[in-house]
Amino acid sequence: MSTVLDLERLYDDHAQALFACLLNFTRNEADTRDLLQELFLKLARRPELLEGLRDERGFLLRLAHNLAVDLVRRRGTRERASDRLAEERVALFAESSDPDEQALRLVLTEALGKLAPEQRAVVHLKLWEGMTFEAIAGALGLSPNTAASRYRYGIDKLRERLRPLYEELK
Amino acid sequence: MPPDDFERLLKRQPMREVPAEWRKEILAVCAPPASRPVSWWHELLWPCPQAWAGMAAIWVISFALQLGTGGPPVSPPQQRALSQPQPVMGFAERRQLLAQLLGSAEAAPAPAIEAPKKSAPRPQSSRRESCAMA
Repeated sequence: MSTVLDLERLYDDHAQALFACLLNFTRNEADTRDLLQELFLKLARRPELLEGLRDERGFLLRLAHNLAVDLVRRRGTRERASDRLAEERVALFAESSDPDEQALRLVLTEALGKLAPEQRAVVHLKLWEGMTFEAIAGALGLSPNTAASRYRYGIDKLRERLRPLYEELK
Repeated sequence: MPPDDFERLLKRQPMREVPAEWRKEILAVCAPPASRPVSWWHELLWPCPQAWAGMAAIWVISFALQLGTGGPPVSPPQQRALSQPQPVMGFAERRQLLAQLLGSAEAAPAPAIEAPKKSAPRPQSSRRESCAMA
């Protein structure tokens, strides 16, 4: 049974990755906070979920993704439309003192926001979590081929949107 | 397939860090109830806050009723006196009290204690026996 100490260890080991994934998916800091709390509360109440796990991070990312999808479904179309403005202002990346880097991060944030949520999730897990397509497939409940094709579509759209800035930075 | 330059450029962009204050807040919510810090008033009222709330409600209602009747506040000794049953007073004592209350110059003379009237002898079992013996 998970003790408080185990939860602390879990938080210290995985909260950063879960935060980044949830923030990229929801594009809303308040929702990310709620989902992160809901996830750890679920683990505290059902410690048996973690028993015998080989890939703790993969499991937690899957749990986080499922909670995020549930939240989006509960919200409905009307609320999603009204939250778009707030989503565009979300800060996904750390601030940079270099103006070119900062400009890239802002444009990248906006470009990621224009991807479909499922493409965005795959791109995030591939680029910033370094997961294989098999692991991504397990985390998101997809086949590896679907994960790979969603990544290709997503990265191509990002490349197209960031091309001017990317060419300038090269 | 190894990542190209564009993908490597994107990977290098660091994600924002999870706010530090979230850790304490989230773990506090997830902590078991026994380990959560409890304030002294919470300990005093728990485990039956409903009983305390009920008693408070009774006090409020009785206070409101007392205000509503408009009666003068009664001091506790008077309250005790009123609440105690008054002893049964004899006729003479009541006349004397009335005279005192009315402020008579002379207290009404207490009536002489009347001698009990002789009543007709009641049949007694000893009389029957004596008659029978006679």
